[in-house]
Amino acid sequence: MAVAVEEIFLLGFFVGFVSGVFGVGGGFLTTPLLIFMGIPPTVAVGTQASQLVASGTSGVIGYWKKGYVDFFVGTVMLCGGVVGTVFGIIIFELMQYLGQIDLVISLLYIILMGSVGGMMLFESVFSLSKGKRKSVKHEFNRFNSPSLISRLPYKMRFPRSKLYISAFVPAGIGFVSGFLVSTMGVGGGFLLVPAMIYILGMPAYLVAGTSLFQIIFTSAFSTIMHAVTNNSVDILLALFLIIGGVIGARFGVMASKKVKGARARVILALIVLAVCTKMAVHLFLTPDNFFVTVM
Amino acid sequence: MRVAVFSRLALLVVSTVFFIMNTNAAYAQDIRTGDHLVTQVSNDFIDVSAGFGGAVIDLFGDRNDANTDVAIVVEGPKRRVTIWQKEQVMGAWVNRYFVSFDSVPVFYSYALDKRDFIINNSELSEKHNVGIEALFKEEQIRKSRSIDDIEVFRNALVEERKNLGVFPQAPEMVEFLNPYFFRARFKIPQSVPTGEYKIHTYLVKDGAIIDRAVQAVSIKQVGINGLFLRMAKENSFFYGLGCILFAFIAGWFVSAVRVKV
Repeated sequence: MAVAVEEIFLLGFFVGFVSGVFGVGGGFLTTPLLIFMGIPPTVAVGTQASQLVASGTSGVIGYWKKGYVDFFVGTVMLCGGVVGTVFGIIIFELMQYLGQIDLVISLLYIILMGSVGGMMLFESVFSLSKGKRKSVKHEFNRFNSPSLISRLPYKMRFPRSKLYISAFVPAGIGFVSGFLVSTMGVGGGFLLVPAMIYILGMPAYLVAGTSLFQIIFTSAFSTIMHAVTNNSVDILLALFLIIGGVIGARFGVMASKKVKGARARVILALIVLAVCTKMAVHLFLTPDNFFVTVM
Repeated sequence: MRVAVFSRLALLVVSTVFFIMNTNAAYAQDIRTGDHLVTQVSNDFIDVSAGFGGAVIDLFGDRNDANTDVAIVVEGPKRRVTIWQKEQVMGAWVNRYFVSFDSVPVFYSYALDKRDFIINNSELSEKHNVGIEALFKEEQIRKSRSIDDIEVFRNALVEERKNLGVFPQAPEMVEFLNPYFFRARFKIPQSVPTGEYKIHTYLVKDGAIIDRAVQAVSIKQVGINGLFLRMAKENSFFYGLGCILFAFIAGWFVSAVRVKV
């Protein structure tokens, strides 16, 4: 596969910039953009998993030093994450065998990004028009343990997060994360963080570090699985993405002082929806060539 | 009793000798290497490094009979290829029908001394893969149940390969420098798949192959890219571990630098 190094670097820079400005992972941008550049979706997903290890590591160290990582919850989530990864890889392999993997990746992106981007746009435009941020957190905190969740077996005590909850809950959230990493190449922070706050009921200050800790090892496991099952990890591609991303993130953090709050979320939602639309157009527009060859 | 044993033994010996002679004869008829034809390739390896812009392989040959025809085939390693036809399902274009060929060479080219002499020679095309049509053997095909006409799939594949430069637009010409000494030139494109390539040369007289020769060319990825590619294929587990280790270090480095600044 021959793609110009500068293009990869620029892509990494752009995604790094966006993640620096908005404080998001950026995996949801890298994979689609790599696909648009002509990188096979399987390689895009496999490589993105290794890039997540790097960005996760650099992120978690800061939280770890402040003590904002609950390793116990993270480890239980990780167990679910490993199972989710294996499940995702099996689906991935099966779809590859059936010739539908490109379709599945596109559909997953369209559905997830469409709904997340749409909700984000709605929420941010709503709060912009009201002139102040709506405090969503307050309402939800009361629903710490919905009744179904409190009835699940294998309850465990998680002292750091002050939780007494079935191990299936964090493991289930980890499972979703593992599935997303292995099939889409995204850490899934946009789903994990709300799930950990509202379903698990973890203290908000522990959520970011713990989810990053879990994502590092889940995506590390996913990287190995992708490397072994379909040789779809390209270390050089990852290298240039990481370098571009690091530099981009620096500029992004500087720029983030100028855009803030709801306005920033509107821009982010529009970026997400734009990528989602491009994917959908790709899928629904009459192709130039009705035949695809796979070796 | 003894006579019976001897006669049986004799029969066995005779039949074995006959069998060996027979297969030898068939072998000789088919190959008869070295009598009439000598070939040599200009370079028996091609290194693909960063900035590789394609290469040329020259095959030189010498025949002892000017009243013969020459056919040359270059084939790269063979892979299974699946061709999907897209169809609209609920508005989305999805891969719907497939035809797959079990072993299609990743690179293929051929050269002839006269444009069309293979047309009348089924041995060359069927047994020895001279001509693009010869690459798609009936018994190596799998397909969706509802597909009867594989022709469109095959044409789509051939067209794609031609555009990539890994299948020839038309046969190359065998050039004669004198009535015996010949040369054929094959262009290897920038995006050439790596592996062991074979160049078969057939000397044909009155429709029969009277001699043949084989040369090998090995095309390899070299440099750091090649090392990674080889690692990823041959030691994928350790390659994956290496990727993770690299990512950990990169991530740690980034956060360490960030703290200092």
